[in-house]
Amino acid sequence: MNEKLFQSIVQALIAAAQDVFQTMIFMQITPKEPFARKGLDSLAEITGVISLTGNIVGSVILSMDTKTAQTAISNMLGDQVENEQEIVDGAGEITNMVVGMAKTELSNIGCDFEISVPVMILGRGSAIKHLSLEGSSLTTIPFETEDKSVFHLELYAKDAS
Amino acid sequence: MSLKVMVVDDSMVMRKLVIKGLKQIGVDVDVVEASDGKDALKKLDPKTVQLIISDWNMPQMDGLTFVKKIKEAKYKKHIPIIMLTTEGSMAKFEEALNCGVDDYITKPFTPDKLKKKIDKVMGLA
Repeated sequence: MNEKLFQSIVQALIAAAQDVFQTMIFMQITPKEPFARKGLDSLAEITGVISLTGNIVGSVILSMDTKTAQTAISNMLGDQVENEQEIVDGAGEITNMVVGMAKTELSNIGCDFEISVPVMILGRGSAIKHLSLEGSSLTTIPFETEDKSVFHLELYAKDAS
Repeated sequence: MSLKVMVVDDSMVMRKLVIKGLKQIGVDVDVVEASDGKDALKKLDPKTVQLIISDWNMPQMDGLTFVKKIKEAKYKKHIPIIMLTTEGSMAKFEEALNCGVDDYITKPFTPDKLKKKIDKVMGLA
């Protein structure tokens, strides 16, 4: 995939994640150095996967531990959340907002694609299999929260043609 | 202001967030919750619901199909609909308005933004 476009998507995702956490979760997050890794097993206990289709094909994956997700959803609702289903649902909605916001930003530079509803995967180390992984550009972006916990946003994408 | 609102979103956290936002802006809210368009059509009582706030991307029946069905129905089309969605491009905005959506809010949202849109569609602005 064109490196410039790939980096534009990465930057849009980073900016969207920061905006969503600031606006909805009232929490500052700091992006750390992105890295590449082999394989795509889930990096944390709760993982949201959104598929991208259109000019580009791929996925955005948001992985966070239960405690990090619980803190984020509790902040968002202004109430301590204990229910696991609610924590998973909230993590999916965070994934949805981050990808949706990045999508809007990218449409301004002519990069149009559709997004799926988030698919949630539970358990660290679960295999995430993709049919279109071959030939895709991949990156993993760690984010540090105010309480020093870390979650990851991952992108793999390639041109549709 | 007292308002009977239907909130349609497949995320229960997002539904809670909308309800929290409504309370924060001073709405004495009576809520009907639905998890997608199909569920909303089943639960909608057009005699009592005064406003619908609906997501776009949902399983079973998406928000746009739901809006079209409401706006085609003689006894339901008067209900104002605000679409609350991650779909923020101009093309999507126009598509939604063409289908009969009264106004549009992109996620993430603030209670202030919600208030402005509600005031506008309810004729209070």
